[in-house]
Amino acid sequence: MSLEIMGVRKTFHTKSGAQPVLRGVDLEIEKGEFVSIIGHSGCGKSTLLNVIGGLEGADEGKVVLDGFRVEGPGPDRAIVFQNYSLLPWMSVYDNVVEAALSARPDRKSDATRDIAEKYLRSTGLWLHRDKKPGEISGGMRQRTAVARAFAVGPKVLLLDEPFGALDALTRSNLQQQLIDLWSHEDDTETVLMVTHGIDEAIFLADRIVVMANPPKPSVAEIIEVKIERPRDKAELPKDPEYQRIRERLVYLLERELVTPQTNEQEAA
Amino acid sequence: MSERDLKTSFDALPGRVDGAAVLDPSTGIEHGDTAPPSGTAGAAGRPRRVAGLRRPASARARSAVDQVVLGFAGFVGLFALWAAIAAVSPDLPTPAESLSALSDLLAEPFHDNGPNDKGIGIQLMTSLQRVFIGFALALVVAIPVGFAMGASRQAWSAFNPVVQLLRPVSPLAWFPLGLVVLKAAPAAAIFVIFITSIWPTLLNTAFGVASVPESHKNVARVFRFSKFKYTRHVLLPYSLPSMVTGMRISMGIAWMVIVAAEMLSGGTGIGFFVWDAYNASNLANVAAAIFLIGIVGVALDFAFGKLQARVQYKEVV
Ligand SMILES: Nc1ncnc2c1ncn2[C@@H]1O[C@H](COP(=O)(O)OP(=O)(O)OP(=O)(O)O)[C@@H](O)[C@H]1O
Ligand SMILES: [Mg+2]
Repeated sequence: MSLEIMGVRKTFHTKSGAQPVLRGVDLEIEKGEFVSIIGHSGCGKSTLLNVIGGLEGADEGKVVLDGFRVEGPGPDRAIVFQNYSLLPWMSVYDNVVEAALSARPDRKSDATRDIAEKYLRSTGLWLHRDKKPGEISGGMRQRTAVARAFAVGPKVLLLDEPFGALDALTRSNLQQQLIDLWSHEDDTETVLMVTHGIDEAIFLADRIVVMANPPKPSVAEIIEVKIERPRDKAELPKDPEYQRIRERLVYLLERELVTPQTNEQEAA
Repeated sequence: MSERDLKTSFDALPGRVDGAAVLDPSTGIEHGDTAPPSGTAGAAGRPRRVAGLRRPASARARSAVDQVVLGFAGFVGLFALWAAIAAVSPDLPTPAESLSALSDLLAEPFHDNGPNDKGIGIQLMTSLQRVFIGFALALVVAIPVGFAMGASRQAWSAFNPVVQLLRPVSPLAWFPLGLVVLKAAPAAAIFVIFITSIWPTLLNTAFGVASVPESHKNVARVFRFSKFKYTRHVLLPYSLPSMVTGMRISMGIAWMVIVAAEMLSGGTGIGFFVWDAYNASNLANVAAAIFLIGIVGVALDFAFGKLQARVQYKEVV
């Protein structure tokens, strides 16, 4: 299942004028690939994910998934939204199970319930499954959103900063589960993950897409991560390849891609 | 896009202001009826539970005492004012006369000595029954039409001008039409309540349905909710709070209007009782009835406040 993003452009028109957010994005993602997207706030990462997810249409260009043009949301793609997007009137359990049930009508519903339970347990939410999103912490909400997407087990998993609100231990644990899901489960083949974490990107991804604010092109650079899997988090910092990539990413994000706009946003 | 337009045109409705005025006490109820109205918290038409800061128990107890004392003081002020006016206007009953009339009325509230002598309890029950029937019939119309208006631009365009035209009309203006068609005064009173109760519920339902946030819709789209599941798990739970708010406003107005409608329809009911007492120059009974009408109104509003709290979910920011 290859994912092709071809010449995608997207401009938002607001009162303060037209804002070209995606300025000709070309990406080809192989079936089975794990791709991370990194870039400063406001450079269009979520917008790109939404276009791939079919929630927003592109002004120009197209997204093709396995030969079929993406026209809207589909069961082959699940998203972990940046703002979690849980339904506040449903329990944690129902948020996960109802979504998984309707996204995967091909599975037996008992199987779906078992899978939902598995991820609710492994995200540490099982004891809190009857609570409403308003009754749990921000990190727990984020884990619920992750469990929901994992329980769907889509062909393409689109993650928008899925671990941002988590403590280091939980994050590490969920990163490992994400790797397991991606490498062992038949369902989930391709992962596209937006992150602000340089180390997270290198640890998880096969390729890292670095995005930039205007006037630079949207995709500033694509970095291959040629580090053997399984990767050992403890050993990783000693790897010369890791050090090289890290240095490059730090340079890009802290020097080259710092624009007046980024500065303004950081200050805000 | 389309939602935004719809929302703006909603905000432009004078009705939103009615709504807000009635909504304020509702936010109060969620704080156990203790919080003072918080500005125009309901101005958006959707009362939201504000996370209340918990104060220490002693402070809360002290403010509860304050409330009882001040509430009592308010009534003392009212009675003083009333006594003063009654002193210069001898036709008015004094508070004492009215209290004794009230205790007489409550001594045998359900007595029934033929059409001209029924207990106040029977009159109130009769009025309540009419209100409930008219209100229930109104829900049958208002909720589906409100849903349609909120969900579809075409339905909105088709219904909204009619609604806007009819909404500001005093429901009593419908009484003659009801009388002619239904050929019975009590039925015409129910018809008036039916008309009265439609508008707030209809508009608040439409508002709730129209304002489902994009993020909730996106969940439904990404996880491929069926139409049924979207309605059951997104649309309904999201719009229920504003729907119930509309019902609460409808019920409040219906209870006000029934008194006037029964003054026209005659025969039975609390409105008739008031008019009958006036004709018999028994103004102490009028004052007592005002008090009882108020009590029933408070009870109805309290019940809907409870219902509102039940359907209200805690929003996640
Ligand atoms: N619906 C919209 N209407 C108008 N402008 C929008 C809309 N959505 C996004 N934008 C603008 O597009 C730009 C990119 O937004 P996007 O959410 O894709 O950024 P991002 O890279 O995900 O940022 P962050 O890291 O802060 O999440 C921002 O400047 C934002 O203001
Ligand atoms: Mg984003």
